[in-house]
Amino acid sequence: MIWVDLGERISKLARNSVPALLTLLLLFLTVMPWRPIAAPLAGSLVLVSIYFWSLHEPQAMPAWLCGAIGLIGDLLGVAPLGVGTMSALLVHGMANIRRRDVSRSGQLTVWGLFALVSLVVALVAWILASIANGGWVDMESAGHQFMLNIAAYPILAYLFGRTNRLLKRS
Amino acid sequence: MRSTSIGAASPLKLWFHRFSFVLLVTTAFAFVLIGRADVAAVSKLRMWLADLIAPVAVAVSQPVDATRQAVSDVEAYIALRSTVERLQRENDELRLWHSTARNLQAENLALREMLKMTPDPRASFVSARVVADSSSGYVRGVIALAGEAQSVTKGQIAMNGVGVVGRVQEVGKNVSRILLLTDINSRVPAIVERTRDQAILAGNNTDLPQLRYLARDADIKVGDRIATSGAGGAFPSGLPIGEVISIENGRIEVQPLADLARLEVVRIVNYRLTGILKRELDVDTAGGSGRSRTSTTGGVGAAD
Repeated sequence: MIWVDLGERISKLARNSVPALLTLLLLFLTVMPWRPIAAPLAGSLVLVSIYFWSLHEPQAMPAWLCGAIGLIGDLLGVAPLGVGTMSALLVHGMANIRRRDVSRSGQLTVWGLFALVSLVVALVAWILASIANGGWVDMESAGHQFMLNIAAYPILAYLFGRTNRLLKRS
Repeated sequence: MRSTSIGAASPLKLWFHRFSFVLLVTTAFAFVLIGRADVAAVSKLRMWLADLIAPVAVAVSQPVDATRQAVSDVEAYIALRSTVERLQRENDELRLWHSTARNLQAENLALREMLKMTPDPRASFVSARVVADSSSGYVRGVIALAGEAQSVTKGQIAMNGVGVVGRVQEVGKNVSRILLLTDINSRVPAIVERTRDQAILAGNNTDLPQLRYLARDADIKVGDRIATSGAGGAFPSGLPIGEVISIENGRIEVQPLADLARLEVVRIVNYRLTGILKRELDVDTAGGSGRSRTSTTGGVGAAD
């Protein structure tokens, strides 16, 4: 009986760690030297991942983990220190507003809400990056980030959805 | 999920969750302020993490590298004929340049002899593989696989085969962070090659850094080449940087010669301009050890 319990626990642990590992992998992919994707996309993939998993599998994506992933990104140099951390936390926080209602609603609604979340995050990141740089930075970067977030969402959400179904079946 | 843990959350638990979230957000904001202050401990932590992550980045990039290699092999094979033709043309041209250069070199040497000019400091370099490109909307930088162990120090210049790429910003044990020319914090003393006008090349997080503080009467045109000026002593003079590609309302944009978005190998050059290295340790590292270090850093051969 104990063994069954242990096995179940291990498999649950494994399932719960997939979202975090996937997000970290995306982070690594975005800092690869010869990436197929343009520079401003770095970060978008990670934010989409954090939003998706915070929304659909919250126990696998707690706030501290989001912060930690953001911090690793910052330390890797993707954004000024703290900016990525804050972005990740904000995405997580906003994904948790009326989470259950949102996660049950249609794909298009979720996409629209994510666009809203992205807008807020892009603005906050722009202000924080300006504070970190000691002067206003170009708003263009924030704009790119915002648009890329929206563009990246459907593709990644589809892939994550498939992954999630696979995980639940196992 | 069949999990029961997210069933009924007690008010206390909810309060705790909110409190911890606010705490995390506050911490993140504190990070922004700490980062602004440029604390040495943060830099250390950053490089420690980079040291830790470099092998992972290498491992992750392996399959991608292999695929890319295969694709470029096929492409090269297809383009073989036209490549040969192009190279032959280039070769003819370069031969001409070669003889011109030799003549000039001899002449230069003779003139220097007459002037009793001190020779330029000799340079040593380390070729290092780029393992991570952390360029984003807010930062432009790469992490290269060479650090303290390869005697890379802060402030050294990074180049690739065609021009200046940036400058070493932080150094870890086996890795270093290079601030690219395009980063908003990058400032490089530059000179317009044709007119010898001095200016500062300032990055702005876009692909095209701007030439600033150019004299008002300076005569600058699209197509002018920009090189390092050596003012301030941080850069040696005459290293090629880029070309002016647009001039609009006093906004002069420069296209760097090096393709900063596709950096694979950088040469970190030490011109010993600041005289950090002691004379008694001054072994000739121009060729030999630079190359031997290359093998230990996993870098690819020097592109001279």
